[in-house]
Amino acid sequence: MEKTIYILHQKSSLAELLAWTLRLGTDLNVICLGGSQELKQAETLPDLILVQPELYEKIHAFMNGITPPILLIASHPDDEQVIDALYAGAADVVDLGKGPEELLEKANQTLTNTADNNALIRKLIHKNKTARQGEKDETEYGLTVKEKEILKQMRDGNHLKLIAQTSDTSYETVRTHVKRIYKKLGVMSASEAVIKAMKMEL
Amino acid sequence: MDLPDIHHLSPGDQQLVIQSQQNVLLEQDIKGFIAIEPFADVLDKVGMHQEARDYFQKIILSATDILTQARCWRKIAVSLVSQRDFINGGIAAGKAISLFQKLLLQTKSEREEYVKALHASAHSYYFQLKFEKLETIAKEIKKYLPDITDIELRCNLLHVISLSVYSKYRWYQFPEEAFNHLELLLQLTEKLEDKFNHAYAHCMMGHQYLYNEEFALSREHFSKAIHLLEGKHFGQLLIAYNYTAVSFRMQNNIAMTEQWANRTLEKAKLTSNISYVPYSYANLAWVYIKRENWLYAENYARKAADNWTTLSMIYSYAFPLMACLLRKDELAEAGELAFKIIHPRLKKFPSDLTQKLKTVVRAWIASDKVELRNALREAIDEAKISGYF
Repeated sequence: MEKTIYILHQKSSLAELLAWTLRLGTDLNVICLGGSQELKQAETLPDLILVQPELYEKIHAFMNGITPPILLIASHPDDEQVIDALYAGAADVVDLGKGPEELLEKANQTLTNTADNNALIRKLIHKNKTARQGEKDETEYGLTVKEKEILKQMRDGNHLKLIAQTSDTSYETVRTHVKRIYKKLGVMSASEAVIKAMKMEL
Repeated sequence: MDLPDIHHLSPGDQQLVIQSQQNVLLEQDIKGFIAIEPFADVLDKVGMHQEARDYFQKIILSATDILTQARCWRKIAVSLVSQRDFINGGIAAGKAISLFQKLLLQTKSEREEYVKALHASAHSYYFQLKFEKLETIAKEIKKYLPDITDIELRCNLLHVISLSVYSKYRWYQFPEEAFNHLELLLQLTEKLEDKFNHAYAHCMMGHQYLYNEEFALSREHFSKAIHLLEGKHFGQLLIAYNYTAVSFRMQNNIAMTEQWANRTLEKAKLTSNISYVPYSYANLAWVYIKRENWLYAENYARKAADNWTTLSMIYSYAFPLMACLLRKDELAEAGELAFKIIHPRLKKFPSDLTQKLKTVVRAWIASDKVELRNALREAIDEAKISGYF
């Protein structure tokens, strides 16, 4: 059966270009949507969603956690937003700077379940390496046992859904723990939290 | 069975359709639905493609034997491909092929029907730039080629094989095989009474030599084709006209490119062969860039882009348009074009040109204007050196 891809991007000319690329390179049914409103009106779920990182959280929340794989379309794949979205469960990131081949390859890999699952870990290691030197030594920041456990899983590259599953906790509870961890560590994103976790040698 | 509206047809064609309908009415009681098939053939032949396809569909629905169903799907595919509906033509050809494969293909006529379906399928893949699938079909055709004695069909099959070789290799790197099949095609078509096929073979050969950078030989073949076509068969005539213009463009001959591009444009408009209109615009855009008339150049390049009907040869207008955009410093659109033309499905460029276009894409995505400007300049220069500009 023909598979369907939705592309959600605020820049419609770019969305059209990506749709053209996919239609020419695959037998997929590609539909460009302007935003989550149009996604709401869609009758069926697509097999894959391509989205700019800025829209990830919105789409994910809107879909109520039941989403097909989501690929991030990024101009700057090392941005915080990309890492956060990967952490929150995005399948992978397409670096558009690598050209149409990368888009076709990643879309195909994601649809056939052969995607590189280590995308998040790779990005975090890269981020950690390039992090500024000389930051103050980190303490345990008053984290509870449960919070430490969750942070440890975050460090290992597990996304929220998986953490919820393995720790027998609901997805929403995990999100609450994560918010508290952010607050205690004084960070704004998953990547920063993981960097701190690495320094704490959890 | 009602007679469709045939008032728009010439008196001769109207007579042909009426006669064919009467034959159906006479034979229908004895032969049943099968009697409709020659009538549908006639409709397709006189250009009433949709009506013909509707009748073929009806036959498929009422036929009980696989061979009839497969043959009608094949005819639908051929009809769609002749109208340049390559996607649906490919689907219909696929249905025909899978039905034929259920048969043992023991008789000559079954094998001939099967390869005709393969031929339609190959054309649809070629124009959809699905070259791996085209190659698979060409391999299958090669298996049956020794059995095919009908010269015209044999020529069509050789044509598919040479298309698959042509699409597989980059410019200047065609293997000997690419020319061997066409030589054989030329020899075979020479024997045919209808000179159209021979002219077509010359067009194919001219095309192949063109992209092997043997321009004199290429134009020699196009010239022979033009002579043989005697002003008829506009589709083929326009191939010869258009690629003669391209051969001059590749040799940097501005005046002759303009002359042949205008000739192509005029003929294409007169004969409603719309795909050659934008191609001529692209060639004229190149002419005006060479004359540094940037306003006209951009106008033609945009007209080419807006009216481009096929997927192949996008670079013909893309590089002139990129040059115009670079001059105006409208870099983002040029970046998008670079992204488009390095699509892996399109004809591969030489490595140096591909690398430079990738640099353009990187700079465009990173919104680095300085780098994008430099990269564009370098890519366009490389396209000029490698003959793609």
